[in-house]
Amino acid sequence: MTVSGSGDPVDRAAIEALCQAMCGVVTGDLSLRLHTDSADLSVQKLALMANFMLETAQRAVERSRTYAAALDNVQRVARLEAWRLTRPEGEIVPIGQVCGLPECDGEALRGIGWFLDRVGGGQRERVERLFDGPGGTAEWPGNTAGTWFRTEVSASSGDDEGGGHLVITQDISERHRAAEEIRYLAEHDPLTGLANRRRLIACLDAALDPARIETQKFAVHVIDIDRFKTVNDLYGHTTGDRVLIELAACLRGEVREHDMIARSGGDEFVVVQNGISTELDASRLAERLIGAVGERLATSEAAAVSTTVSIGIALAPDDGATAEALLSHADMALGQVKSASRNGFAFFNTEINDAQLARRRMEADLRGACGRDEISVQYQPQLDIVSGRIVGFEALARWRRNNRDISPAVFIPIAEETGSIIEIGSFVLREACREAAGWRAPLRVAVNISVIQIKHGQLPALVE
Amino acid sequence: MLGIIPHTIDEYLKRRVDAQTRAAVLLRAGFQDGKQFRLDTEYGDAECCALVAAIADVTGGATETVFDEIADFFLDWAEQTFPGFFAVAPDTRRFLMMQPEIHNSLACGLRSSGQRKVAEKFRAVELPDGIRMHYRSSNRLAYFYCALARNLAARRGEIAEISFIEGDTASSAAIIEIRLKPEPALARA
Ligand code: HEM
Repeated sequence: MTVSGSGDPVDRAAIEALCQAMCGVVTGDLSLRLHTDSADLSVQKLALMANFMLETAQRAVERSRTYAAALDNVQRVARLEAWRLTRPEGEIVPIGQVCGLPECDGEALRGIGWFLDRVGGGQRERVERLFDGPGGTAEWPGNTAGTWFRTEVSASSGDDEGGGHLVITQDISERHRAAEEIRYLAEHDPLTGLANRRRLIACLDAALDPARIETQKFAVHVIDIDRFKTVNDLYGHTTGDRVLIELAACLRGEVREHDMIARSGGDEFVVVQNGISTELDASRLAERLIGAVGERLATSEAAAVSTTVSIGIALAPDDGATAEALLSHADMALGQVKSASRNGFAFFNTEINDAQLARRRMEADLRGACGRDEISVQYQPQLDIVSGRIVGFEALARWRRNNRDISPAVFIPIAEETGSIIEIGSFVLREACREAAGWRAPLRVAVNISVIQIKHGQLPALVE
Repeated sequence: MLGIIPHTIDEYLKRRVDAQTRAAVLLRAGFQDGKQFRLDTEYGDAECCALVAAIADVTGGATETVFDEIADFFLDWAEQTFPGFFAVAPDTRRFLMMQPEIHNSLACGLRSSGQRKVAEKFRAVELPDGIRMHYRSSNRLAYFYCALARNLAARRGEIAEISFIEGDTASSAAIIEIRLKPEPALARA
């Protein structure tokens, strides 16, 4: 026992023994613990504190090992690779697990140039620029098809002189695939796999871009299966669907790779024929399509009802400056084919447009024609051929608009389609009944009644 | 339990009661008369905890009062013996945040590798104006914890407002919130 400067006795031997034991830490073994038998409280305290330090150090090491293992797992699961690029040496120091990104068959990263060589899709320069400034993020395709990566570079001030960059690269191929799939689903018809109306409009808009349309004329063919509604009614929707799939396959076989096929709704398909020089190119394709579809559908389950299609064609840019205009004009041309013969094609022309416009106007005028007293009833006598006597009258609707008589043959079909027939029919029936009630002789009155009116009901009430 | 606690309790007895009473307390708690507690040795948890109850029994005081007095005595002793711990955390909140590390490492520091992995008694979560303590020990010394925290705060001109989120002063598992406020200037004057 020695005496310290303050006069207290000090157990020097015990302190020396502790110091000697502490040298054991040089092996890196932090599980070492110090023991003393000394009765000296300061020596006990020294041993206690030395053990406290060892314990604290050991805990820190254990904790960082746990974190490192967790980080490895995180990196493995998230397909993340992190490294530091030292400046100015340009050395690569991996952080955590090296997961072999991107596509290096487990090889360790061999330098920044080696890394950049793995950037595909002509994006190398963009990724390289991330290392010039304060950093940033880039998503880029790898050299192997279907692989995509996301690299985030941040300038790390670091303890090391000159700092450097912290680089984190993640394999996002799966996410990319999923996003592509979502985009595909949003732009395609699930039944036929063809582009849907949304994608069709987007492609038409792009093709109508003034810069492109200057040099690239194209044709829009709107294709409609003849009597498709009957196919569905007679054979059911499953057969209907199969016919649509057949038609899609047939169209695919007939158009060129850079043309587009879309299912724009129901049984309506659209082929965008790119790069045409004259109308002739479009009519040739339309003819070919009609022929091919006819052959193909002749073997379908619904062949007895429908084997043909009708096609309406609009040419861009002449027939419309917007996707909507082109489609609606091609639709008008299609309407023309349908009302004529079916199984043929027609180009949109301004006469169709004029005819359609006139028809629209007439549709609008017909609405409320009774209210404006434009509809009147005329009575055509009905004779008994044998006796030559009048037996009754047929009540006929007349429409006089702007001092002009419009033939029932023209306005009745339109009234039937638009529903105005109900109003007109009721008016004629009421008028005829009122008129007949005033006749002295027992005569019949005949009124033509549309099927639509009958379906609509309330006929007896109307007569009473 | 590490010898620091029984050592200071014994020091407390040496200073505050006569030799006979001290001997009676030690005996009642299961220690022999004349027992010398070493700082760097582990003693049985049950005997150490029994010391406080024995003091209350022998002196006729309430256990809470004994804990309060021992807390005060212990902090005097700790401030002298380990001034470094107090110097690195001049405010109570920071000291209380560090306390689990001091305890867990001091308590395990002695143990050989096999015994190191004992469940840790203290875990502190920082709050804007204090800490939330997750205490878990079969010794049920949550009251002692509160007494020490209150005493430590008072030494630093702070008031510790203590509430139990889970358990109570005698639970083996408790969640305690200690919110610290500066002592009103008047009370300090
Ligand atoms: C530098 C100051 C301190 C030191 C060196 C110290 C050290 C110790 C030691 C060594 C033990 C025995 C632990 C065991 O073996 O399991 C202990 C127990 C305890 N200490 Fe501290 N302590 C200090 C300050 C405090 C403070 C400020 C508090 C409370 C705010 C506190 C609360 C406790 C409690 C509650 C126990 C009993 C734990 C149990 O067994 O359940 N200590 N202390």
